[in-house]
Amino acid sequence: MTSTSKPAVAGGSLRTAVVLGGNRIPFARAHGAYAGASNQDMLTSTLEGLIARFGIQNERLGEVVAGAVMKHSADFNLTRESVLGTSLDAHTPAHEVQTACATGIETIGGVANKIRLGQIDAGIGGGVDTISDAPMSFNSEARELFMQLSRARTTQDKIKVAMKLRPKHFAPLAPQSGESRTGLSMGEHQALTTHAWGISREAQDEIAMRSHNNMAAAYENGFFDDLMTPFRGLDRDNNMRPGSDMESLGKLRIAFGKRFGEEATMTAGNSTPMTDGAAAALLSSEEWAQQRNLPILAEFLDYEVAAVDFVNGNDGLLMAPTFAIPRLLDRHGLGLDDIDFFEIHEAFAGTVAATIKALADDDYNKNVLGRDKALGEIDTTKLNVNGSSLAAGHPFAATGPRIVASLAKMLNHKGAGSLGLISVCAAGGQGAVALMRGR
Amino acid sequence: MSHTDGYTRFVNRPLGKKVAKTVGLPQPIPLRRHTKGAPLVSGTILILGKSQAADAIAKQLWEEEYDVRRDPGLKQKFSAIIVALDEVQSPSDLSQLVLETGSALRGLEANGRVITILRDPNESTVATDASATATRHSVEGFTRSLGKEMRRGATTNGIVLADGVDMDSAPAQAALRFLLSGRSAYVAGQFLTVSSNAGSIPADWDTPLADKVIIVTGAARGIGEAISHVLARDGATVIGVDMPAAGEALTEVMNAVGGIAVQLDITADDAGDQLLAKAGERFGRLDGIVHNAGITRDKLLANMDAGRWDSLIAVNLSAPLRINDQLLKARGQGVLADNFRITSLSSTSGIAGNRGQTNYGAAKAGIIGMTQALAPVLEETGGSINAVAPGFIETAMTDAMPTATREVARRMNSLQQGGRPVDVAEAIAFFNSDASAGINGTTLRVCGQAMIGK
Amino acid sequence: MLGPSIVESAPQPENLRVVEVTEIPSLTSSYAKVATGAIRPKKSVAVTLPGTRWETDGVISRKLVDEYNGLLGASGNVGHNTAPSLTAHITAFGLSTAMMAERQFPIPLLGMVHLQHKVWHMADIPIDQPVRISTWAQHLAPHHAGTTVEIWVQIFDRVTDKLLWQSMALYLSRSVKLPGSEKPARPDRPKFQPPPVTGEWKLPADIGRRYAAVSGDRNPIHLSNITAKALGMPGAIAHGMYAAGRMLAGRELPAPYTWAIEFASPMRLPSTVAVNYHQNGDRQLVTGWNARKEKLHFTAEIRQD
Repeated sequence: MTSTSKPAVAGGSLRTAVVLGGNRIPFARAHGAYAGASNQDMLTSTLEGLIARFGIQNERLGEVVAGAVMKHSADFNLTRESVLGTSLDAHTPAHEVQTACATGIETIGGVANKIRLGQIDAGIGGGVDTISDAPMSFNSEARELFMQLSRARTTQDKIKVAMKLRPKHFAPLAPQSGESRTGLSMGEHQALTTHAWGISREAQDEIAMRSHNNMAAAYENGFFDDLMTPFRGLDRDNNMRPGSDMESLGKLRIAFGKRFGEEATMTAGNSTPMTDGAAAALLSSEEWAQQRNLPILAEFLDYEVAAVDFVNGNDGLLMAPTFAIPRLLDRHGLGLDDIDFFEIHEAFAGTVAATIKALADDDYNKNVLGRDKALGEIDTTKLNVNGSSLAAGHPFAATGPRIVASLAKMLNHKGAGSLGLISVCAAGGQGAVALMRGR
Repeated sequence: MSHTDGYTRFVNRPLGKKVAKTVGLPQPIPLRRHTKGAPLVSGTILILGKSQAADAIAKQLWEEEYDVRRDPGLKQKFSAIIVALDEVQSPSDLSQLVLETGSALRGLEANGRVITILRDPNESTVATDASATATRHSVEGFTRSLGKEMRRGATTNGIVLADGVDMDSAPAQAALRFLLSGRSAYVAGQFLTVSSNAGSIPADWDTPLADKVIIVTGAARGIGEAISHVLARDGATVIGVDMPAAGEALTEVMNAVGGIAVQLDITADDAGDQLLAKAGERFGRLDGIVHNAGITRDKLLANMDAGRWDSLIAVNLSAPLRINDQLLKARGQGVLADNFRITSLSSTSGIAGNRGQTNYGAAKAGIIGMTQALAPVLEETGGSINAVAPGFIETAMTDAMPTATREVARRMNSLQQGGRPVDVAEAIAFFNSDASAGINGTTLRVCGQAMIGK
Repeated sequence: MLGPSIVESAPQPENLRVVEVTEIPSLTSSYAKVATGAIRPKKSVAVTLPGTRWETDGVISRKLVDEYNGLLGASGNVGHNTAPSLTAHITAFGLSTAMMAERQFPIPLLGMVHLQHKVWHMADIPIDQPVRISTWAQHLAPHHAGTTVEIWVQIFDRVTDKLLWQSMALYLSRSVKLPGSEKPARPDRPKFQPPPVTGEWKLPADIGRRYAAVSGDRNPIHLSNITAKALGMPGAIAHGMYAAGRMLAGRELPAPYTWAIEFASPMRLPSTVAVNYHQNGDRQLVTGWNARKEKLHFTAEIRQD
């Protein structure tokens, strides 16, 4: 497509959205290395690293889209504030998206769609999250008193309200970690799914071991050298345990699903810990990249979101990708055999195992997904080959961009036409999956 | 980082000045450093001597509307004194010009310059002429000794012209401009040897590196950071390279200079190929590389282990050698410029040696050897290779030295203060300019004429 | 365990003498009345219902609705401009309790056990609009542990006289025995088999006080361990109707619909209640139990009519 042809939104044809690369800061276990860092710190640093890598200082990008799941009310314009703190042209607009752990796929998907439609030529999709600096709130009684205090006009009124404040009003409410409609934490929800699918402890520990060792090997090979900018003294994800083995994983105590007694399988080792971090990916049209001699690693072809009815216990909370994957592949006339790399976000090892098992299960496909037969088997030698969230950690909104950037590089190495599938489950019974093609 | 040190600030205040003078303490003053668009000098330039070189210089500076004098006159103030000794044949030819210089020195302003012009004493044409050779060497000795008599930030340096090199050639002009300007603030008692007329005058002396793409290794901090800034100031696009672990600092530097950050371990087998590919892919050209990345692993040899020795040699010497090989193989294939420049960081430790630095001294001397060996190779297509040997430069590394050691090291030179990373960077930028091509295979000390060295 | 097994008699408000109440009495005053009354010896109270129904005008206030939704969080009835089902109960509860606190009432208020609650939510209930509230007791019946009574409430639109909402609460009194009646045998209950967990309620220690602040039901057994022990309880327990609110949160259906809850054992405070939601045709079945002790707390049902 030449620059003179019309954009799709003005009657022209769709363009291809391409991934040029990405950047992230190392992910840090919560309340550790990044305890003093805010979302804005981390997102800005991530963007700065991306800008430096591609030399796009002072570029006016079409849009920077990012998001955070845990966000202070003061960060109402988090992404724009970050953009203003970077070396990008200050005329670069920004907005935010929030769909829990799928946030990062949604930000990138949105940028890709705008590029394809011809609304923008280049943009960044990203995500950031901090548990260490998560917002605290006060109970409703305290909030009401603070509001009265701010509404009070005279000093006398203010004192009157202030006199009503008691120590209990200052006890902060921790951010809600469970699903509000079920009261179950995500780990407990996954424990139900893990148990229902009969996923063994060994199968989960093996997924965890592979994640750590695959990622450690990727670091040793320099895979992350152009995907990461160190931050606050970290140059690697500090959750990663190189040399993980089944024996030490097997010794860990049960963390979720204790209700299943002897049949409980989920430990801190095969579950992803709370993590701080940020990631972003640079996307553009082909001509924008070519004009700047920037490398094109992969095409961002399409993405699909889904949601499940977990509230009534009909579906597993984190099983939405099993709905989205067949819909996305069907749309492109593809099967699982066509995919060269699977990137299934490891919220829990059990999530990965249950997703794989469900897609290969005839009954599930017929009764739950409404398909004629099973979608098929996933070749696990193509799965998370450079590690995933169990090793890296999972700063909710940052996981999507982490995967997109890594997968783009893997597809580029694999060769033109190679295909990659991303699957990210999310709180609220949602999920996002994406399809990318190597260049 | 390297602001004017506390002592220098102290002796430049009225009380401190008085105290220092009374008890005979060193009296360093803030050095004149180049800023974009600044003139070569602010005041009068005195040119002594009647040689062709003297005439060429006078004409060039005159045309640029500098206040040029050929005669010292009475009680005149000078920003620079250029002494053309390029046509002296016998020892007796020296006397008049040398003494004229001496009487003019009283008028030399703070941060002034004395620049001698001489013919190369090592030329084969005079090798059998003992008197001529001796006289040329005498000019060198005169220049070095005069350097040590300089006060208040002034320096003495020399421009050595090979036989057949004209003073109005691009490299000779470039050398003169470098030594006159604030770019050479911490260069003292040194010689720039112009071995050929190769080089071209830039369209604008203020952006001598316009359109160039130059790789800087170790660009994240210290001297590498300063090099990146100066190259960018002079018009170049910088590809900054550093260890992946230094990526955060590298990002800041590259975003400040509008460059590209490449996180790469330069000891990787294919580092040179990777860098060439990166430059080719993004810019379609590569004009120079600055081998700045280096580490120290100090230990007395008796206590040296293989780890300390091998890692230092790998980073400081083997990596530049391997990268050069990989880059130079690509000559004539489009990306690498014909007049490609290699500049490397050596060290006064590599020249004079330094206790506890057998590994570092070996590597840095090796850089000097590499520079000499590759000079003819680069000359073939109009390129050049040179090294810069810094003395005491104020960096985070030297900030960490024990106070007493640091104070001694700082004052042990003619300028009685430490240099700054930018001083090294200016020399690197100079060697990367089109005009300086005729200066090749040299090692320039940026050390304030430190009292150590050969 | 699939849903509560509630069998109620048909509502019979007819032929009851109307006692017009000008203002809904506060629950605290009713509790105080029975507490002091309890000291006096209770003599020969007739085991017959008084034959009256109590009525008053009222509104389901915006303040109550906001506080109720606030208590139940984002998954309450937020976003609907009609009253949540339980706010109708809360509004009418004072009237019912005042009625039961009367000396003529055959069953002592103190010590009554709430067995079942059923609500016919027949139409949307407007907020801050006048409604007519009517309550009466009917159908004294023998129970293996004593005597049960049904307390009914009806809420009408004050303007159109349309019946909007109706409830039946079944209470047990262990201290009252109907003369001449055969004591029914204790029904055989199969041992509780816990269904799969689909949710979990964390009940904090202060939830009784917080529900009391919203509902006005400051029955001491819900407020703290000390006040509960003073009344002979082993410790504080959650309001049964709070459990009803939790099970309804985010699940209230467009009117008309029916919901019911049957209480099996009290929920201690603080505690964690394992929950199962199960959609069975047009019925949502909810079970709550203590996972550790495998002890059933309640079964409930929400059904579209």
